[in-house]
Amino acid sequence: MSAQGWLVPAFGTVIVLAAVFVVHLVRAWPRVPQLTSEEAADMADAPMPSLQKRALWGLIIGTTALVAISALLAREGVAAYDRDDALRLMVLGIFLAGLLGSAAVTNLPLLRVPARENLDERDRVVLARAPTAQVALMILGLVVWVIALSERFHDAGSVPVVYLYLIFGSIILLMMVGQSLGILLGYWIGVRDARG
Amino acid sequence: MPADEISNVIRRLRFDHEEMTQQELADRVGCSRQTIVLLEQGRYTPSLSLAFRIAATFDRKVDEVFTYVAK
Repeated sequence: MSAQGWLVPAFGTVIVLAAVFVVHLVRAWPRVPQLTSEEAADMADAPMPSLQKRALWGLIIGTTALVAISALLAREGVAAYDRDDALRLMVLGIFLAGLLGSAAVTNLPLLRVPARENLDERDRVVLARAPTAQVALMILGLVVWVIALSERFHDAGSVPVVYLYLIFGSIILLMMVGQSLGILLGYWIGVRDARG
Repeated sequence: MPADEISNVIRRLRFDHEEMTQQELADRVGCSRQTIVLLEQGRYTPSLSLAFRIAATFDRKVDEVFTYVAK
């Protein structure tokens, strides 16, 4: 077996396992209820709860930061990020703007008592469930990083240190995006009762 | 175990109470209008405390507003 001979069966197994996981996930996922036209009109007419609005903004801000950083690094290259202070500052600025912006609209208001009291019981169930999507997105991010870096640097035998910062930053942003995504999915799928 | 089903007459009670809007009811019982919409559609089962608050708003007992439907 060649030096990379193990890669094909290993990644093949991972892909098969991932496919089985996705099939099970799709089958187990709660079905989004079909609404009559009157019910749909009622729902469309009801304003979004404030938590849902904040999660939507958090998702927009976090995703924008992730896409902007990815585009910047794809255009300039990671090597340039390592040696160019201006580029590094720009990436750091976008990262902090995304992180703080997302936290400011989604998380910080929840620290204030009036905002917490404005959540109704359904909002609380949705919020309590959101970490499921958050953890899934973070693990997915790590899987992508590990596979991509293994593929890219397998022959070199080591991964440049700069990638540690990028992994750290991206997972932190995915954590923020994942929470917003989890909240929005919670409202979309719907909670059946006050227990969730 | 099949899911519990609890029906309610909130929509009718709202109309019987001077056509109270969903938003007015939501404000009185401390929940979002979206939750009231889902309750009326039978797609959300409230906690006991919310059920009691809704019943109290209409001066009814809980079992006059909510009915358990055995499956």
